[in-house]
Amino acid sequence: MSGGSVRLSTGTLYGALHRLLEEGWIERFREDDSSRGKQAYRLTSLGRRSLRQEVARLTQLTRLASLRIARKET
Amino acid sequence: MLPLYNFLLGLYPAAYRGEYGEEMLAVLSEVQTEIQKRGPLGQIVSSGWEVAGLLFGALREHLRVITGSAPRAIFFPRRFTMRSEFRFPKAVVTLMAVILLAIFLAIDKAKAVQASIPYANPQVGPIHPTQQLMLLPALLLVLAGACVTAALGWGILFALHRSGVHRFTDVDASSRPRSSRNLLI
Repeated sequence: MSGGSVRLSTGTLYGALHRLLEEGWIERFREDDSSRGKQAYRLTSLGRRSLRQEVARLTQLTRLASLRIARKET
Repeated sequence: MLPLYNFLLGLYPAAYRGEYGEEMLAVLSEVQTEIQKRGPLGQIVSSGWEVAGLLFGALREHLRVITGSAPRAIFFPRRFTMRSEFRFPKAVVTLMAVILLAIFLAIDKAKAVQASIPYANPQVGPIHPTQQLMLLPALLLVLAGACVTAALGWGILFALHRSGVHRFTDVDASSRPRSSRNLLI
């Protein structure tokens, strides 16, 4: 997904999953295709809302940064 | 490597292991299969990465059990958490280190001065009861001073907390008025 730019070890990944579960941002669910034998996780409505806010915040920051760069170049 | 991973999973707190242990081992098994497809150097690096991740994770979870919160501030100390509502800035550590260094330097300097003038101070005789009585008020004075300093410090921290300064990092940039945006960048 990140094209190799983000490398998460299994220990780090599960630390993050644990925290997100505690925050109520993700939840476990049973996949229809359970042949993989893994636990599946999905965003909760609270997690989706938080993600949307974070995306909006980052979009705003990148927009401001782009403006700043454009102003420097002109 | 799987026996090593299994051993490292045993370092996690029992509750965490019970909840995620089996799942993590399944993922690690899959990761190990992927790692084995790489060259010798890639295998060493990737396996080391997983081992470090497990060790770090076990330590983090134990700290979480002890402290009751995620100890990110310990490992990524941009800020030091005193309580969940208030955080000391990182500069406090530097300041304290400077103060400690200054104390040691002052002690060294005092020793040097004392050594250079050995006869300046008369020999102190036995302490008389009246002198002992003088020590008590002095100690009480020092204690009172420390209490006042602590109360002042607490008052400043309380005022900072009430002001909500520590919540500035949580302010959403998108909610700022247009006029203030230019000032921020």
